[in-house]
Order: sequence, then structure tokens, then C-alpha cells
Amino acid sequence: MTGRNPGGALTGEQRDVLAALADIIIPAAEGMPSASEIGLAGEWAERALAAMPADAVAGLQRILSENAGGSPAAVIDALIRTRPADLDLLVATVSGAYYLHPAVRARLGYPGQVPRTLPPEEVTETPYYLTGGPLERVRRRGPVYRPTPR
Amino acid sequence: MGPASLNGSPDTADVLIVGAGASGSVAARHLSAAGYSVVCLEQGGYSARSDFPGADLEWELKAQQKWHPNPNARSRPEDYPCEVSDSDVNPLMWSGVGGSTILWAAHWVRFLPSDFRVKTLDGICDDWPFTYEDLEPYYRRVEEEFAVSGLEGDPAYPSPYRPPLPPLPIGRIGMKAAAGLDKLGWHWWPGPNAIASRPHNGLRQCTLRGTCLTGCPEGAKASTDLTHWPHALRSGARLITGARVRELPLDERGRVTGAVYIDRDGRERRVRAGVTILAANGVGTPRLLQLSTSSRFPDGLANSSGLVGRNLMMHPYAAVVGVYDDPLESWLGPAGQSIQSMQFYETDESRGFARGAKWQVMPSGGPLGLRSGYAGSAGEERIGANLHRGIAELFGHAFEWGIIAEDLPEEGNRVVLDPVLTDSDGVPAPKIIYRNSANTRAMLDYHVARAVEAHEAAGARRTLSTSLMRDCGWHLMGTARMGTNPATSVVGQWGRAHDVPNLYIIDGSTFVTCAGTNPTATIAAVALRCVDHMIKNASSQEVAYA
Repeated sequence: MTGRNPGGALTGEQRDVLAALADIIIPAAEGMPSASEIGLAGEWAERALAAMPADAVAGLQRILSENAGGSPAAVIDALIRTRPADLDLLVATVSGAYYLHPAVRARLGYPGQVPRTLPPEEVTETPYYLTGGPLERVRRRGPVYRPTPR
Repeated sequence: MGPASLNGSPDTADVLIVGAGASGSVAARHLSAAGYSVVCLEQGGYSARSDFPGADLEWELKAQQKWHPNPNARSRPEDYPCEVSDSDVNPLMWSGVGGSTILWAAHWVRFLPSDFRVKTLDGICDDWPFTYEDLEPYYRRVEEEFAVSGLEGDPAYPSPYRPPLPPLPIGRIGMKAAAGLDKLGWHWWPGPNAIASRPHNGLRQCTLRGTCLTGCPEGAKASTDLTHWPHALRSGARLITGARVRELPLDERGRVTGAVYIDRDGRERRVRAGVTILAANGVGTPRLLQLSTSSRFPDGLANSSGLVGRNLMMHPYAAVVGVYDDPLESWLGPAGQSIQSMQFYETDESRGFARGAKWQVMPSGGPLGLRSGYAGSAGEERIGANLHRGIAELFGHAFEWGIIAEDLPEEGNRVVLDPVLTDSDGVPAPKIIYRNSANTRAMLDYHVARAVEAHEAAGARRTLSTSLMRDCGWHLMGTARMGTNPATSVVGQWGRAHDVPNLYIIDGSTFVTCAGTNPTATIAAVALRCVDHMIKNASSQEVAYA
């Protein structure tokens, strides 16, 4: 893997570029924090990159290195116009890191894919939607299959 | 008891099974319980529950490569690549103990009676050599083994059909979807799942994580490494992992003598067996048959009909996402299915196409999954404040009606050996040649339009349709079809190859038609029926000896 920093997937310069671009992609808006407000370019980006395919990580490193020193808004605009695949990868990485953050998840009302153990008495043969009637209406309409011909 | 055992050396057995997936596992469990010495060769290995990413914060990201269902995306050494440049659909599968049941969504749906009589009822394709009623006792037996959770009384089936475990909760997404179908007067029913709603057969109770498609970290989803292999191993079956079969040799009498495989040290080894069973799925099985040429079978083992590899069917898939104002907790599992509908399953010629499709409601996953809802949008629409607005609109407020379309068998849709591509052991890889037909396109257009109506009836604010997905080839069928005529089929109704009396095929390759619903229930039931027959007729079984 190219450009791998022993401390993570990104060099310091790449992290700075990511932080700047990420705030264009995910600003503070609609009641949600910006990428920089949650420290996206640090721990959260590294966690996301550690979970992503190697070729995606290499692609992101290239994008960040190629766009060091540019105005973030101009970089994003240029990617939209001329390098949509690079924009896709950048947005995927930034989103992937952003939605890991507990504060972001809390604002969305998303607890994560957490377990919910149902008490045995809630797993019954007669579920609630039966007593309400809709499934009884299905039954009363009768068979919807064609039987085996005799 | 089986036929007289071979000399008891580790590389000999009464029965060799190639593939430790759904059908191979059923065979291993029941043959070993009946006293046969069984060896199973599996190219992959075991998956530990702790490996599955569903309990990880980074679950959605980890699903993108290592746990992706497309072997070409994973590219693990134990995956063989598939050449797909001439295919509209990518085949999906998992190589390992449990086969594709490791990553499947565990929808457990019996075929309907008409699925076995397509020729008689609709005047097209062929009838199966047995009926729903012939298979029904085997459905019941495997449903107990696979811990199927569901509700009795579905009018889509003849009575009695009573799943062994009560249904999993259908959740707010199920109730919302059902409200729409209720308004339209359309069929729906709680979707049966091979996911334990209570502890059963070594499985734990489902905790509704909704990460089923990347392996179940709870051990609640039925995968045959959990439901069948412990039984088989206790009965003395031997499972050799990391074993990549490259050929099935033939003796001078035309019997298969077992298999030649490559182990993880790169050494070529042999297993000798009286009977060989292929259970390598609708791509792997024809691949192995085509790799096993001889003077007797220059076009591939058991291929005098020329049909090995042909009639590939893969269930084209479409989906309609509905977006609602109500909070629906749409990330909650099982994934799995919430409810299903057979309203448009049976043929109605007035629609302009033959056969039909089963629908199911599935959860949406986490926030990254919803980004695909606006894939293809212009760049500005996907970033900035628009990104937040898009997520706020979709996440937790959307669910999908998925549509599984029955594709008709066509000989031109096929699996062949690629002339260039190989797996990590240098064995020629399969090439998939598959085109969606006009019937398929007309069917999906119709069903997508009906699914939009269903969402609108349920109160959806808007819908997002995907008419033909490429990564949908979960169900691999038809490539070693069964039938009574050796000129037009590869195996008979008991899975035995017409050309080779000690070779059996028991996976979805043997399907005559593919129905419009998930095949694993039928794969498992057919496998058990074949194995039962083998056991009952052991005294007349022709065998090979080394």
C-alpha cells in the first residue's frame, strides 16, 4: 500500500487536505455538525480507512496528494466537473467516517445495528398484527396459488 | 447401512461430497447418520462468529469487500473468479463451510405447486419430474433443521404448512407495507426466515441486528456450519477444508472414482469413493463437470445431452424504495425479510409476460446504504447541506420492496470454462454468459410499477426504483437440469446422472425451472429427497472402487 504512515493510512499533509475537503462535503447544516466539529480527519477517518478495501484507501491517498494546496471549494468543484469517480470515493470515505461518530448517530436517532433481545413471551404464535384484522382479511380472500393439476 | 466400505484409509469413503454448502451439508448429515462413511471436500474454510462484522461500528464499511457477496469483489484465495463481461448479472456466492448460507439473507420460501408444472399450466418450459406434494414431506423435515420461523395458514400454499418456530417481528416497516397492501386488497404474509425466533437446534434467538447479509454474529441465522455440520461430524463424517477439487476421474467402466483436489500446500491429492455427490452450486458444479473430460465424455463429465452448464437461471432482481414521513426504525432486522407478497406470483397472460415474482420487504441497513438512493445524482446534490437533507429524508424513513423475478431457462445462458482466467490454484475459472430476456424485462417493468402503487397506497411521499440490479445473482440454477429423458436432461429425479450411475448432483444446478422466489428451501428439500432415496436403494447402487 502506497504512502502508508506508520501512524495510520494518511500522512499529516493528506489529513490536512482531507479535513479541508470534508468540511465542504459535510458542513454544519440542518442541525448536524460539520466534519471538523467531530474531528473527522483524525481518528474517525483512520477507523473508516482501516475498514475499507485496500484499493479504495490507495485511491483516496492519491486524491488527497494530488489536491494538496488547492482551495477546497475549487478542488471540489473541479472533481464534480472532471473527476466524478474521485468525488464518489471522497464522499464515500468522508460519509463512512462521519456516520461512525456517536454524536452524529445520536442526532440521527440511530443506535447502530445493536441487538434487541425479545423476551420469550413477545415471540408468540399469535402476533399483534393478527388480532388487528389485516391478516384475517388476507386469509378470507382465499388461496392465491394454482394447485397441482390432477 | 451403506455399501461395503472401502479399506478405511483417510482418503477413501463410501460417499464423497464436493461442497459443504446447503445441499452438501444436508447430504453429509443424513448419509453419515445412516452409517455411510462420508468425506466432504470444501475449498474454503470455517467462518468464526467473531469474524462477522455485524457487531462492529464499521459494519457498513467492512461489508464492501471482505464480506461482499460477489467473489470478484472479495478476491480471497479460496474464491474462484468468474468472468462476467458477457453477463447482465454477477453471480454471488461464498466459498467456505456453510457455503452461501454464511452470507445469505435466510429467506425461506417454498416453491408453489405451479412451479413444478410450468409446462402443463403455462405451456412453456418443462415440468419437474415430481410435484410439490412429492416434495412437501422433505420441506417439513428440513424446516425443522433450518429453524424456520414463520406463520401457519398462508393462502399462498396448500394446507398444512406450519413452520416450526413462530414468526419474527415484522416491525414498523412490515406494518407500513402491509397497510398499503391491505388497502389494495393484495396478498401479504409474514416472511418466513431460516432465522431462529427462539433457541433451536444449536441456534440462538435472533436479536434483530439486521446484519444477516455479512454473517450472523449472534449465531441465530441458519447456516449449515451451525445447523448440519456438527451433526455430520458427530456421526463420523470427515470434512476436508482448503480442498480445491479440479477433476472427477472416471474408471474404465464409466464410474466416477472420487476426486482429485489441490490442498493448501499446493499438493495434488485424491479421495476415492464409491459414490460421488456434486453440491458445488449452479456455477461450481458445471465448472467441475466441464473440467472432467475424458474419451467417454469429451464435452465434460455426464454431458452426453450437451446441457451441462446450459439453462443458467439467476433471478433478476429489482427494487422499489418508498420514502415515508413516519419514523420506521428501518435499520432493524431481520435481514431476513419482514413480510412477503405473492400477489403477482402466478402467471396472468393479460400482463404480457409469463410467470411472476415474489416480493419481500427488507430493512435498509445503516446510513451509508441510503446513499445509493441518490446515486447518479449530480455532484452538488450529494454534498453539503444536500447530503444532510438527503439522509434526514431517507434514513429511518425508507424501506424496500424487493422483487425476485422468475427467468425462463434458455440454453444460451450458460456457464463455460474461461480460456484465460484461473483461480489461485491455476484451475480454469468459469465464464458466465447470461442475458436478461424480453420476458424478464417486461415482468420487471410490470412489477416495479405495482410496487410503486403499493408504496403509494401505504402513504409513501416518493419512491426510488432500480429496475435491474447487476449484483443480484444469489440464486444459481439450471445448469445440470433434471428430467426423465437423458437427451434433454443431465440427472434424473433422484439426482443421479443419466450417464454416470454413481454420480449425483443435488444442488440448484438440477432445477428445471427456477420459480420466482428464493431457492434454498427447495435446494435443501430436494437434496434430502435424493439422499433418502439413495439410502433406501443402497443395495442396488452401482459404485466405484479404487
